Formats: sequence, C-alpha cells, structure tokens
Amino acid sequence: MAPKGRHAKSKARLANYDKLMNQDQNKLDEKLEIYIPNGPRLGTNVIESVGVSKAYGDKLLYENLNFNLPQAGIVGIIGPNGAGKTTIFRMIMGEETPDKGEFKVGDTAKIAYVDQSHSNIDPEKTIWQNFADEQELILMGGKQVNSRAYLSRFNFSGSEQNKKVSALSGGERNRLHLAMTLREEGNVLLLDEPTNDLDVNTLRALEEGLENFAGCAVVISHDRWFLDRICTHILAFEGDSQVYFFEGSFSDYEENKKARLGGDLMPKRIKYKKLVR
Amino acid sequence: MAEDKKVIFSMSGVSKTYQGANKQVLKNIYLSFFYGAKIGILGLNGSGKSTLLKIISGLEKSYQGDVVFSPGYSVGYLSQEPQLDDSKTVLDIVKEGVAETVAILDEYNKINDMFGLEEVYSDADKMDKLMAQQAVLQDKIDAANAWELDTKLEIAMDALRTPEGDTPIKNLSGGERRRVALCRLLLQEPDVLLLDEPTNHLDAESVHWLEHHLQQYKGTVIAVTHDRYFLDNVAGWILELDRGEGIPWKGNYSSWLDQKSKRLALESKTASKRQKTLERELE
Repeated sequence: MAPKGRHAKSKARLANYDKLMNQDQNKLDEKLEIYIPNGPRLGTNVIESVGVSKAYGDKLLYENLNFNLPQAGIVGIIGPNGAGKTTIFRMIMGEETPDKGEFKVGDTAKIAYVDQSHSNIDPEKTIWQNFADEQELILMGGKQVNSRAYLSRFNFSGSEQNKKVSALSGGERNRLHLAMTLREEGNVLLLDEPTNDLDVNTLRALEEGLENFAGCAVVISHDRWFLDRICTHILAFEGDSQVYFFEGSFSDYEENKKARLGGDLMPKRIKYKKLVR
Repeated sequence: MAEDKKVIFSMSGVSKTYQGANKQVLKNIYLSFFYGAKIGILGLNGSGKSTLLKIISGLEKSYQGDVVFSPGYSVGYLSQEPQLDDSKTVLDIVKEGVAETVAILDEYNKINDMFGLEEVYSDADKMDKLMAQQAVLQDKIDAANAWELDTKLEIAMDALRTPEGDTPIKNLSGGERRRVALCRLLLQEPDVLLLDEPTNHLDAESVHWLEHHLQQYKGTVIAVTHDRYFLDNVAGWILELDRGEGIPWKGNYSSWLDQKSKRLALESKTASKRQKTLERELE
C-alpha cells in the first residue's frame, strides 16, 4: 500500500459525496463482490455528538465528547475492550441515554444497525429466512438481487444458509448481522466489529463495497489494514476517559498520537520491551 | 524450497476428512518446514487452517499420512480459546512456562533444608554427598541465570501486559486468558511455535510488541491469521489453503497479493472480479 495515495483517496471521498451518489449502480454491482446499496440522499447534518458524557457506576467512559460525522466519512472507532465503543452506537440508537449532552441525528439520516438484540432476527428461523424473508430475489438499490448469492459472499455456503440462527457460532452470527446491516439501504451504517470473523478475501470485498458506498459508515474494528484502507477519520479511545477525533487514516493517527503524546509520556508502554533480559 | 536451511519437520501425504460432514478439508499435503521460517496461513473459514495447526501440534491424531519431526524438537501451540486451570493464579500459569527452572530451584531449596536436620549434619558422609549434589544444581542454576527467575517472569508479564500475578484465572476475560497463555508459551521457547489468530483481542501496542518479538524468534513460527499487517510484517512465507491443497509462497502478504493476481490473470483471460479486487488492494 502507498500511504500517500490512500490519503489523497480519502480526501477525495470526503469532497465527492455527489459523485459517489451518482455512480451507476448496475456497473457497481458488476464490479464489486460485496455491493452495498446506497440509502436515500444524505444531507450534511449526519450525526453530531454534543458534549456527551457517560459513566457506568464509578467508571467514567467519556466526558464532554464532541464530534461531527461527515456526509461521506468512514470513521474507524478504535480502543480497548470496555472503553465504551459499542455504547456510542447504543446511545445513537436511543437504546441508552447519555448522562450529559446529546447525539443530534440529522433529518435525512437513515441509520442501519443490527445487534444481538435486534428484534427482526428470529432465532428459530434459518440464516436465509432471516436475511431474505424467504424471498429468492430481493430488491437492493432498486435492483433485483439473488438473495442466496448475496449471502454466499459472506461465506455462507448453500447448506449453511439453512442453519437455524439459534445454532450459530459467534462468528457466523456476526457475519449475518453484517449482511443484514448492508442490505437495509441505510445512508449511515453502524458496524460493530465486522472484521473479526472474515477471511482476507471477504475483508477485501467489504473494503471495496464501503469505498464505493455513498453515505457515512462508522466501524468499530481492530484490523489495522482495513482501517488504513478505508477510513477518512479515526475516533480513538485513548484511555483515562479520553477520546480523540482525528481526520486521516489509522497510520496517520498513530503518527499523530506519537507526536501528540510523545514517547516520554508512556515509558512503561514503550513498544519493544523484551520478553526476557 | 531454499538451500541453506534445515528442515525441522515434514508432512507427507497428509489428508483429513470429517466423517460426519463427509468433508475433506486437507488433501494429500506434502510440505517441508524450515527451522526459523515465519509462516502465515491464509484460507477461507472452514478451509482447514486450525485443523492443520492441530495436526502439527499433535492434538489432532486422526488423519491420513505422516508428520515427521526431526528428533529433539519441541512444539508449542496457542489455541483461539486457551483452556487454563481456573483454580490457579496468573503467576502459577506463567511459571509453567519455566517449569524446568522452577524444579531445579525447588530441589536446591530442599537440599538446603536438609542441612538443618540432625541426622544429616552429624553424618559427614551424608553431608558430603548433599554438598556435591547441591554444587551440581548450583552450576545449573548459574548457567540458566535462574536466581533471577522472579525478575524474568515479571519482565515477561509486563511486556505482555498480563493481569497482576496473584489474580485468579477464573476472574480473567477471554483476552486476558490469551495474554497469559501466550506469555507461558513464549517463555517455553518451543522450536516450533503454532499460533491460532494470535492478534485477535490484543490491543495495538501488544500487537506491535508481538510482531517484533516473533520477527526475532529463533524457531519456526506458524500463524493462522487474518491480520494483513501481521502477515506483511512478520511472515516470510504464506501458505494458502485452497480447497484442501496447500500452496506455499515465499514472501510476505503484499508480494503474495501481487503474484496471486498475476496467477489468476494467467488462469483466465477474462479478468474475474476476484482478480480485480486483488489488484485494487495493491493500488
């Protein structure tokens, strides 16, 4: 990968929502392994976090959190487990409320989000039944798409598609959530750890789908390659209730973090400590 | 494969079929592995990656064909969900990685205690014998620098950022368990290190640390992973599992991508979607 080229690409993406929106959808579907249908046109007010604070018991997750999601942004959320990454999604969806501040959701935003508690998933039905509502052909982006073929791109073979959801492993369930989120035709996608359970072919296909998607995507992920390839912004949970919103790729962010916090501030965490002396 | 290297083990004609599903995941695999090679395994879910690791580790015994090790080599394996004894503490588990040293120190201390027994110190013969035994142990301890064992463990635990030594295993999260198991495994320094998704659930700094440590690891490292930076930074070989076949490639992930898109181009004149996506990943 050429980092400079990537940088220019994500800049271009941010400036070109209209161009993305006007791409020929039939050609896109031909070109891409995972095609993500655009939702309705998205205005410039997407989702804004205004002075949000949230704590669990005596653990403060964040205080006075401010960010504004751009129209064509792809925002990677990074940070350790338990820092409150998924909680942001749940607060945006109104499943939890901030202690202070608010999330302002724009009038034109249509959010696509599928989580464990999603009411549309019937555990007694199969993967395919849940995904396609028992329709061989489904409408995506105004076109008819073969639902079994689409599911197979998420590595569900024909027979696996007939497995009951209640019998799925964690990884299979995550892949189903991903497929269901993408077909919702939202213009704001909230994706919680989609990359953990995908092989490199599917990851590559998802990256291309997102690159060509007209809208905003917010993705919780640890996959550095994925983040570097598609992100226009990084929302980083840096510990001690600090959250940093940064425009640029993951590698840019890492350099920025080093420059900002310096090696001296974290001598204990210096990278290449030896296992034995 | 290469010339100046020592082969540490070979697989010849290895096949594995899951009877229930009647699915052959590995087909007649012939591969030799070099001492010191860093190998990343790629493949779809269910392509037999974890099975291959288990066969090499000796955990999976029902397969056809042979896995032949050069004599005297040790193998260590990190599974995706390591099973640790819930009744132990973090330090107990980490210490298992240096069990030999711990045993020598225990022996030394036992002899020390015996010097205090009357039946021993009143008997010159017994005393001489014990002193001789202790001298041998002392040489071993000096050679292994074992007097500093506690410091050594502390440094290792700090590097992998495990929870405090006295934390009970039963209180650990999945990610913490993996860290503790990895710490034990790396202290054992097996000649062949088998890792199943080593970077999953590790934070960015731990991943950087692990990459650096494995680059310098003396023995052979075989890792199943989807982490393409890890494959680019650590792997010197990529072993692709595709429909049961193992296809080795000498090089890291980027060079593998490059040759793969060229190979697909040769196979079909009309460029497939897959080949296009491979090309675009290199852009």
